[in-house]
Amino acid sequence: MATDQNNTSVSVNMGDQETFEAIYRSYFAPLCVFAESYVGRFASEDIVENQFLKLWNKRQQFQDHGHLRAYFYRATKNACLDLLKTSKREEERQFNSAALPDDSEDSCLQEMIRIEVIAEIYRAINDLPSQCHKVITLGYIDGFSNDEIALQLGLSQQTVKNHKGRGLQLLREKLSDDALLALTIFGIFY
Amino acid sequence: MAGQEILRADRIIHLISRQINGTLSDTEEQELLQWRAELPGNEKLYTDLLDADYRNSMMVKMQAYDAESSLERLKAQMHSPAKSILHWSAYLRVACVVLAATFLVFYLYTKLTFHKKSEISTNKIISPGGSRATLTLADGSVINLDDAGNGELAKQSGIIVRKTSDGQLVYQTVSNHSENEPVTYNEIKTPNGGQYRVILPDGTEVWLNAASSLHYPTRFTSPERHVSLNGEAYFEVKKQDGKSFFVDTENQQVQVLGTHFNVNGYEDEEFVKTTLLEGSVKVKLSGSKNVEAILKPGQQAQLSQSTDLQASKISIQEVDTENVISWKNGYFKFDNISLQELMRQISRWYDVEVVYEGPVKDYEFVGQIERSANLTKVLKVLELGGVHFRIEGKKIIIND
Repeated sequence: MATDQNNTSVSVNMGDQETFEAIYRSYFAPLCVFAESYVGRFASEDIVENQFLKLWNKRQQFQDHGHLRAYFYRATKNACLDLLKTSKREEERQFNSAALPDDSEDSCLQEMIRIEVIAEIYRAINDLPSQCHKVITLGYIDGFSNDEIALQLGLSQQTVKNHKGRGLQLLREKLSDDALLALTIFGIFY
Repeated sequence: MAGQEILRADRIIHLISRQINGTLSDTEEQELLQWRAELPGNEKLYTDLLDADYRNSMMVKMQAYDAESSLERLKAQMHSPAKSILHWSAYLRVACVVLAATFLVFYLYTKLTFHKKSEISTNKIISPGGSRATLTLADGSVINLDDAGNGELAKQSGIIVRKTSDGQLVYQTVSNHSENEPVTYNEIKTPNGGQYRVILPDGTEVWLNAASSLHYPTRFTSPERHVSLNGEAYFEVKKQDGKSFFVDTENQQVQVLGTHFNVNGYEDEEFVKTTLLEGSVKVKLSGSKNVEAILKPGQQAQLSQSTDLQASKISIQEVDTENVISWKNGYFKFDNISLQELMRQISRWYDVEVVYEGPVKDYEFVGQIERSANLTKVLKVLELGGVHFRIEGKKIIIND
């Protein structure tokens, strides 16, 4: 899988630019989806960006990847709950949910599991070599046809087909066919 | 958080992923079974995650966020805090350079060298534009956004419109609205000298330049997202379930899925110019099947505004996108533009009328001016370049 299972014992330094950016690309979208479930689409990005900025400013170190991940979900959830608590007007609360969400450790870890299983598939697609990634994204997510992609990237149609084939092959190696079902919404199998 | 629990959660993520992949061993299956019974909620979580439809919907949500552009925004802040204490003098130096640049960068090439002095009235200051716009609701009522306080402005069929503290407009859908309610339309309109930023119900951000208007539904329910534009706007479109986003202008349609681009379709400009910064867009002559083009980042499509559809074609050129969206970042930035083109921008932002007495020389302007500058400052720069003009009230009369 595309995770960090194998790196669990390596410490992570969020003050290192390269590490920071890699972690950003890997966790930004999943954490936003997580935050979105509390505060909606508009506040989610701000909250997550702030979490990252705090870690950067503190040059925060984590003993391993698992701790970093758990910290992120906990801190993001706290920031969301703070925002909900301070939203003064009744209506704003109505948007997000009637009562404040469950604040226990158990529920936070459960929600982390929920997002992170999906995030594995997300990362697998993003980890593809850049040209494969572009072709797969333009084709299956943006919905452009092979000849349109060829035109945009300045490639021949055959090269586009080759990149698609290679991308799918690489994805298959990382994920099973069943997980690839997650991609059928983008029309990968027709 | 206890280390033990974190390790356990990591383990469960691993096991559920293996279950989805069909690579779970018997002992692992036992372990997972035990976990499912441990806490209320575990079983539900497990069944959700094994449902391919559920995973699909979550994937689409995740793809809608763009880590790269967020990271770009953040980088500006990442390097600032420490510097602000240690090197304040560096800021002063930068400020001086910027100030000097405002005047110096403004090169001007003209074929004639002699000129007589122009008059700039110093007793009257014409100030630049600002964050100004009006919002027209579905029921026809008009809200003046510069007067309106922050907070909720209106509530219309399941949608709340609010103005944030930094003066932008945000649409939010009330969670319990009915999908069957009719779709209503709003229009935001900037006057000469106005500019505004709005976040549409799908999360798409739009910066509207002066003398422009945008017409859009308060909820995007149909399979396609459509807005129509007069004037100029910069769009950061959010991806949404593969739903295309269309920007219609007088005679052009732009189709995108999730990208950053600028459309300049002022009626007094010769061409509609569509400039792509990120992603990909398709530009099409309205009502035509074959006059269309796909842009790559850094390219600009130009479509003649003439009404002769037969003669219409789209030409594509590489441009400096920084120049194109400079208006949104607070600058006028010019790269070889004519006096007329420059004056059209000035007239929209300072709400002045420009009149030409007789033919105009062939000017090419290169450089930049802050949009926060008073008109006087801008005209000084024109004067240095040898353009002759006088001011009468809110009229600039060019007499070369």
